[in-house]
Amino acid sequence: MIKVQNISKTYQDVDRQVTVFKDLSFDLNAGETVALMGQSGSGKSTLLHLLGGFDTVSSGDIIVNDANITTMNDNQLSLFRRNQLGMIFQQYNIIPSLTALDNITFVRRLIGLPAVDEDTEQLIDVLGLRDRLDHYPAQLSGGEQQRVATARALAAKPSMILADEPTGNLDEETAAQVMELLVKAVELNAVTLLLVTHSQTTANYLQSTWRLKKGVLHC
Amino acid sequence: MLKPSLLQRVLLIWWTLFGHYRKHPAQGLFLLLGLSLGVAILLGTLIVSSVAKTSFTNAQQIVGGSVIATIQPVNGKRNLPQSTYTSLRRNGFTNLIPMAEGRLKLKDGGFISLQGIDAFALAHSTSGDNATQTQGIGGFGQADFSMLAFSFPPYQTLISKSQAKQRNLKDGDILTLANGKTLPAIKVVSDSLGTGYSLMCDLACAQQMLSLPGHLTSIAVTKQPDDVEQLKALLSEDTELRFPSKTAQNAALSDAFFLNLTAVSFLAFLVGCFIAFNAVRFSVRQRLNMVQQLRLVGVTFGEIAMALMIELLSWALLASFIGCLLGWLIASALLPDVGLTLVRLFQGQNPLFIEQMTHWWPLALMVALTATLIATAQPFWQLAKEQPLQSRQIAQSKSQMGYAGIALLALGGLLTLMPHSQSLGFVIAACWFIGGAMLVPATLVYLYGVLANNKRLVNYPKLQWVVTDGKQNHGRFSVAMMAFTVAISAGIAVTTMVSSFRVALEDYLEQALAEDLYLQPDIEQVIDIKAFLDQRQDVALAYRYFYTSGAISTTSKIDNSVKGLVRGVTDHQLRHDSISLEKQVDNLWPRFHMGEGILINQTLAFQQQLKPGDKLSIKAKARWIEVEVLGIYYSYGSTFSAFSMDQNWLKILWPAVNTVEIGVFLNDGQSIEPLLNTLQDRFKVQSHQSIKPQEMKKIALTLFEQTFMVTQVMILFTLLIAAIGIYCACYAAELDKQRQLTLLKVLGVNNREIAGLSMLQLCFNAIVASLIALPLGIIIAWASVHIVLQYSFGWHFAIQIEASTLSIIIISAVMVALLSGLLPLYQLSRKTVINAFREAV
Ligand SMILES: Nc1ncnc2c1ncn2[C@@H]1O[C@H](COP(=O)(O)OP(=O)(O)O)[C@@H](O)[C@H]1O
Ligand SMILES: [Mg+2]
Repeated sequence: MIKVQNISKTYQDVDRQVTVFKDLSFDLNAGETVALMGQSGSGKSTLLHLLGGFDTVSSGDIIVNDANITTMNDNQLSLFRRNQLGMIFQQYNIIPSLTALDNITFVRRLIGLPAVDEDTEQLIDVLGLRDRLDHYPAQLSGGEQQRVATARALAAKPSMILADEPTGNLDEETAAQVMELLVKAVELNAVTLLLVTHSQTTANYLQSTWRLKKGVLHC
Repeated sequence: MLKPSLLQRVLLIWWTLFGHYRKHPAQGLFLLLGLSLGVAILLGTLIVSSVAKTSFTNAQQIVGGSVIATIQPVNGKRNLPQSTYTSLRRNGFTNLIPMAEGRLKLKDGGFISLQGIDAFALAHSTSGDNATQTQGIGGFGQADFSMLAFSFPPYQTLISKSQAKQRNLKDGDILTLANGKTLPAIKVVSDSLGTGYSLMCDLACAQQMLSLPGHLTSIAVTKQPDDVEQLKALLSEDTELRFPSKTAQNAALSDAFFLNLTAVSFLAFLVGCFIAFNAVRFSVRQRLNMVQQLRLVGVTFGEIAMALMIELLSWALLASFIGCLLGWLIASALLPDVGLTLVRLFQGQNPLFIEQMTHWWPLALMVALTATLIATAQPFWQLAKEQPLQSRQIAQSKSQMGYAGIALLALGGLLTLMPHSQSLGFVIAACWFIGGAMLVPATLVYLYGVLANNKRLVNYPKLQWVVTDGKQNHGRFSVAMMAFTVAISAGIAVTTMVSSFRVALEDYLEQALAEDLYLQPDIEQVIDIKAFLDQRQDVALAYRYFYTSGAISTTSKIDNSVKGLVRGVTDHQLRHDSISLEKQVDNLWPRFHMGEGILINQTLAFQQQLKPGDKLSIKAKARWIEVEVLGIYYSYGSTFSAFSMDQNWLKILWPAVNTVEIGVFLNDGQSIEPLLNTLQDRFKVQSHQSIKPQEMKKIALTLFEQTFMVTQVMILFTLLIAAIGIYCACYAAELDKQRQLTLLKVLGVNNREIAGLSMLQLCFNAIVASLIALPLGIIIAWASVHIVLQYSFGWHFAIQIEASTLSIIIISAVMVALLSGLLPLYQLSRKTVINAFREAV
């Protein structure tokens, strides 16, 4: 359960202020999957970053499973990320020095879970990464890297996944593949998913579509 | 619209590229700092070593300097008529300085030695051929004519700074003698002028004070006379030309020291180049992206190259100016005593130094520009030729570099087997230096690889990251770690060389000036004086020093004999103690005095390839006598072959040898003055017939001490610059790591853990690099001393490894490296993940 209450985000530049949005509020229930759409520059990424605690709000509260992440210190925020959050970026952002498998299982191992359990095995198969486990990111194609990033986001069984244009760099076919796998895995574990996309096709995989326009969220 | 000219386009591109520094001013600062410090350290060392050289040379003047011989009265005479001097001059012997010296009793009961010198002769005798190098008596060089003021009204009495301090005298003081006469006003002069422990005044004044009108006590000869025999022939039978036997002068020793200093400056130069190279490399690495973008929008290679050229030249120029200024300031801060303070400089009180500076500036600028170009050209070239869509992964060839490193190290090792020469020594040192540095990245990658293969690592994901990241992203820190290695090994090599040299110098003085008193009385008095000394309670040992010249040959080729100096050694602990042995057989001294063998000096050992236990023959009484080499003693730069044998045996083998030289050791705590006074009263021993080695040693050491202090500070400064270099290098590498660390942060690793991981990696790198740098520094010092020195001068000194100093160097280097990681980590912890991602390069 994610409760967003009156959040504002203003970037303070040297000579000017950019207010991305003001007094934004919404709830996101456990297991809900939402596509977030909107023009480039409308603040979609910013919103995602705030929800993941990667950026700080100018005002307002974000309450994830009864904990207010806007007031957390670094240590609490880290625990929140490793235990509850799965993040998928447009640029994959997987650790280049680790193999696909080590990347996928990294957060699990960080938490102290066994590197691989049955679900992980299933995830690997579902995402079609079985043959690629020993490969390093540099040896993988863009689609494969994105699937590794997706597997990593899911492997530690987070309660929510934030995905910023995960298919933006992929061709239609691969994009469809990744989306199917993602949605399947998310539904399997009742994970909350907020996914930014420009593609209506991609949005159609999810339960609902929200639009961000001039700082206002149209649910 | 007008088409922009090439220049306009290039300037636009330059401005775009330069935008990087506007965004990251710290990097611009480090780049400039790296370059300037590189230039400054080289320049500083050059200036210091040149000034130190002058002061070092001066330090040697006190006990002889360029006075190569003296003309002295003999046959019981205490002085010689001044006409001897004038007639010698008339016969074309111009390099002579008439002197009147003696001891005078002061009103307060103390004694002073007064040296009267003819300033005119002094000026003339030192204005010989290579005037800048030839230092006259008392160290007066050509540029110091102003100092000759003591010889003109109002007259002055010169006293060295340290003597003045000891006697509590200052400028303008007037000394009154026991007989009521007064000396001209005191003028305190720098120790490096070399007045030694005597006070110096005009000849006529000294003659008057010492009641020697028209007479001299000696004439100093400052240059080898063309015809010694003719000179001797001109002397009356009451005068004699004598070459001194007891001095602290040792040209080879100071040559060796300057070779050392040269090595210091070149090591410093290397460190500087590495710092600069590293700084430039990072600024380039971080702009590859920007260049790619520019190339994508159609900017040509030529335009980028030109834009970079402008940047390069501006950095080079700026850095060379700052570097020159810094180097100069450093040197002047270090050498206030040698006449380098800016105040003095501007007041023009030191023409000698200004002359030197005008000589340095153009050279400095040239060196600075060259160094900057070397350091910047390669990375900029790489940047300029960047292809539009070329993979950003810089080709990794670390193992190749490792093999090249091993090959260079091995090559250096093989070269040691070659017939040695000075240049070979430098080549070997360079091979090891570069090879060792090249080995570092490969070693790190190898070690990380070994660790990464450990299966259990999977259970420790954070450690796994440290290891795998270390293995994969070595490109980030390899140059930094090479710079680190170069800096530490240079520091270790320099420290080791200089401290070893210092020990050698002290040993040399200890050996050359072991006695408390050294006498050269007239021949008729020797026996009486020796007998008198033997009876005195305060004398521990008085020995007559016999020496002659002999021939030796290795048994295999009798006909191949070498001439050498043979010294007698009396059987006494004090005599044994004053011989520093490099190698020796067991039970040396009993065997030595039984006449079983001899001690040879390093020069002889080196020439004949002899070691203890070898047999050789000495020629005496027209036959060859076989003896064993019982030991090898340090020759401290003497290029003469020499050997020592039991004194009694020497007298048996060369019965005709006689000597006037007597060495005297006093018992502990005994003062020399009573003995000297008695000798003067009873045997009329004159001041020039007695030498007080301890006093000579003390003065020599004070002067060497100054030079050493400067050198020491210079080394500290080298280390400091190395530390700043290490900091800059590691800082840049750490910035490069930010993206990887941010990734960890996204996955839920907290700031404290990230700091720990980052530090662990940095610490591992630094420790591995230090472990390579330590032996590297030591073998480079070894190569410099044992090959370069040995083959330049035919001798070497023992390498002193000061474990404590070396560990301090290493520990502080690792600390500095760790420190360099702190700021980037702190900055990272303050940033939101998103900002860290945006700013990560
Ligand atoms: N660090 C920043 N400083 C100033 N403005 C920023 C910063 N980051 C984003 N913005 C601005 O905030 C707005 C929203 O950006 P973003 O969330 O990335 O948009 P989207 O992801 O919807 O394309 C944009 O106008 C952008 O210019
Ligand atoms: Mg976006």
